[in-house]
Formats: sequence, C-alpha cells, structure tokens
Amino acid sequence: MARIIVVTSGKGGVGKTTTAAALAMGLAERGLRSVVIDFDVGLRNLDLIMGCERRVVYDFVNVIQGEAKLNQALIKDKRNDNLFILPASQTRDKEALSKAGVGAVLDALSEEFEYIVCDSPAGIEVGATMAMYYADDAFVVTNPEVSSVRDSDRMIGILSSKSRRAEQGLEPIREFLLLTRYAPERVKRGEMLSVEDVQDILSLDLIGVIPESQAVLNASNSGIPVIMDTRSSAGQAYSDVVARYLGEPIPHRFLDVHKKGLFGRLFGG
Amino acid sequence: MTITGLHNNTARPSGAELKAGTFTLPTLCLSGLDPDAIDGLLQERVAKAPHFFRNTPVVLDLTRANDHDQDSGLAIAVGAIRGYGLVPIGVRGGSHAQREQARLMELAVFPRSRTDKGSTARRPASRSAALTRVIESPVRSGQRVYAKGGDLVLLAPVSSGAEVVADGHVHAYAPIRGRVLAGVVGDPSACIFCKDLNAELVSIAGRYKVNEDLQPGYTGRLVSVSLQGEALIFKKL
Repeated sequence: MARIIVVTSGKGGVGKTTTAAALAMGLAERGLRSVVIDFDVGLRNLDLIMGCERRVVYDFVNVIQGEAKLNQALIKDKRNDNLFILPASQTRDKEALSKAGVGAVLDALSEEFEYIVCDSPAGIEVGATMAMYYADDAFVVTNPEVSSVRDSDRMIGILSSKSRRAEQGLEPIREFLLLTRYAPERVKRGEMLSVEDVQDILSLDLIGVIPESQAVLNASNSGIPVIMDTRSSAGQAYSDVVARYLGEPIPHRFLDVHKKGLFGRLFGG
Repeated sequence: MTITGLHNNTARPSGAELKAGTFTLPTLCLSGLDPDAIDGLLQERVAKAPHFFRNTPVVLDLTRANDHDQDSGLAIAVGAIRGYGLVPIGVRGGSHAQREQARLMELAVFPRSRTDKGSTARRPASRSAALTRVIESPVRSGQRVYAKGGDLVLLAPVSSGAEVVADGHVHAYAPIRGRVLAGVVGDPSACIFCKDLNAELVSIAGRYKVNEDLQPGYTGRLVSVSLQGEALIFKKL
C-alpha cells in the first residue's frame, strides 16, 4: 500500500506545487517509487515545474473518465526512473473529479508506488477537497504572514473533518507544517511572522522551513524541481524535509540571519 | 427526539418523491393529562418566547403520565396544547388506551425511547457531565463548536475565524483568538474563564464586545468575563 501525501494550503501562491515537485523528487532520489498528481484541473502547473509539459498526451481526468489507461497518462521522469507524473487537464474544470473516480485511480497507483504525492489546488472547493480526501499525511504549506496562516488553519480544520480518515473514524491524517518563503532578516525587522508565531497559532508539528530563495524561481522556470539544486539553501532545506518525513532527526536550518562576510557585503552576495 | 424517514433511490416519478429527512423535535414530557397542569407548564414558557412555540411540531411523551386517566384525557390535553400554538404530531409511551386514542386522533405513535428504562431517579446525576462538552483538539478557523444546554471546556486553542458557543459557561485553558459566546440562550449568569483572551468577539447572553473594544492588559493572562446588568465585566484572576 502506498502512502498518500497531500500538499495543501488553502491560499494560493505559497509554494504548494514547488513543494509537491520537490517532495516527489526527493523521495524518488532515495529509491522510493513515487508519483506526483496534479489536482489543479483547469490551471495545471505541475508539468511545467517538473519540466515535462511537452510530453503530456493524456491526463488525470481522461483516466477518471475512462478515456485513457493509467499507464498512458503517467509520464516517466527523464532524470529519475522512480518518479512518475500524472498531469492535470487544462481544458476541463474541477467538477470532473469525482470521489469514486479519484479513489479508483489512487487504488490503482497504490499497487505500483510507495508514495503518492497529491498537489492540491488553492481554495477549499472540490479540487482541494478531492486532493485531501484520501490522504494519509498532509503537508500544510504556509507563508509567514497572517492571511496564509489563517487559510492554513481553515484547511487543517477541513482535513480533520472532511477526509476519508475522519469520515470513517480511522487514525487521523498526520499533519505537518511547512513554512516557505521564510526571510529571517525580515522576521528580525518585525515585517514577517516568526516560526514560533506561526507554530503558536497553528499548534502543528513543524517539518521544515524553506528560506526565500531566488533558486526557487530559477528552478520553476527551467522545469527542474528545486530539490535538485543542491547548492541552494531552498534545495537543501527541501532535502532536510524529505529526511525528516522519513524519520531522520535533522535540526532545522536557515532560521537565523546569515551574517554576510566582507565579500558578501561588497558584492551583495 | 429524531425521526429518520425512508429513502427510496429507485422511484423518481415527477409527482412525488420519497426522500430521507431527519428532524429534531421538541418533546413535551407530561406527568399527567390534566389540562390545568398543562396550562401551568406552558403558560409561562410560551409567554417568554411566543415565536418559538408558534406552529412548532411537538411530540408528547406520556411515559410518566398516569395510566388511569379517562378515555377523553388525551384529546383534552392535545386541545390545550394546540391552544398555545404548538402542533402535537405524535405520542410516545403511555398506556395502551392512550395510544389507541392517539391513533383515533390521527397522531403518530412513536416507540418508547431506549434511554427511558424506568429508573428516572438516576438520571440527574449523569446529566450535568453529559451536557458539558470537552474539546481537546484545536478549534480551527471556520469551525464552530456548540455546547448545547451546558458548559464548554476548551483544552486547545481557538483560532481566529473560529467560533465557540455554549448555553452555559466557557472555560478555556488555551488561548482564544476566535469568537467566544457564553449563555447564548439568554442566561445572564453565564461566564467566560480564559487563560489567554485575545478573542475577536466576546459575548454573554447577547451582550458583546469586539476585539477593538477590549481593554489592553487583559490579553495574555488569566481572565474571567461576566455580565453585570448590561455591561461585560472583565477581571484578572
């Protein structure tokens, strides 16, 4: 049985797709057979972030509606044999996702893969609720600002009441807080909520803090999951997150203001 | 009490459709069928909330009514209850004769409730604990928790955008950042006790203050809120 992970947030633009791509690639790099599914039907983006946008033939909705077989829609990652992508349809809308249809696809994937990463759309409508319904684990992606924190809080409430695990009275979804776009110097100036503030409001286990980094945008533009940019702070932070998720006790990094050296100050490093 | 209807998936005619519906109905527990006693029971209550009782369906619980009432007893009692605007739709319990009368009056006859097993003397002891609601996990934005008929005990934070409501007191052992309402059915003696009160709105029996009107100095510490006259009184504990 595969473990089903949902990457969710409520608010848009906080880094869900970046996280889903990094997480799936990170698990695959460790030899774990993984698939990442784009639930953002109508606004698909995952294929761009994964760099496979020119290889999409069939998609998730085609499979749900029986127009294509699962194997026809799955795209194998060119860089890693353990990683597959199931893209979303750009021409349909989210009503095309049905609970039974999504369940059947996840069941079929469960037989082949060890981890299924579901990239949730923003909002709390049908796309987002479908993405989280069957989840075992949830990564709640949050930016350190109040509106994102509140939306995450709302999402956590939905996870604990409207998921399959909640409805069937099973062990609840494991929820992890992932703070993204964290800028320690802005926290220090009081322009941004600190890790402690966010944890205090959400009372949730912190799985990682991804620092604000130019590398994320560069990675998105070039279709390479940022976790593969091992020199960047964001890439390293995502590697830490994957390790922590798999149970390795790794201390948090990139929380403090980085002191710039002489060269850094001269060249704006 | 709750009634659950039947559900029929196959029948889809244009004229009528049988659908499931669940209704919560008030139950009127009668200790006798004497119309004067019923007047005494209803007069005061209906005067307090006339709108609530107007056209309200009600189930008559005859479990505790005397068995040896006359044959016409139920008809007179139903007439008296209708006089207050209530609409009796059925009976529960009662003697065989009373149930037969109910059938003649075209009232529904509900089965005896399973919780009523005679020993009414034991009920009050377990009642207060049963009505207190204890919440151990955070109340998230968009969620609403209601302790009906009793107190609410909160052991985890209440997020902004969430709402915690009780008919009785609210005791919070974690921060409240959402809305907190005590004594919502109009009990002015209800209080709020909170470890860290930074609520969006605080209300007791309908009197309220929004966050902006809360005096600084009461957040982040143990506080009680009570109602004196029309004013909410905040006290540091």
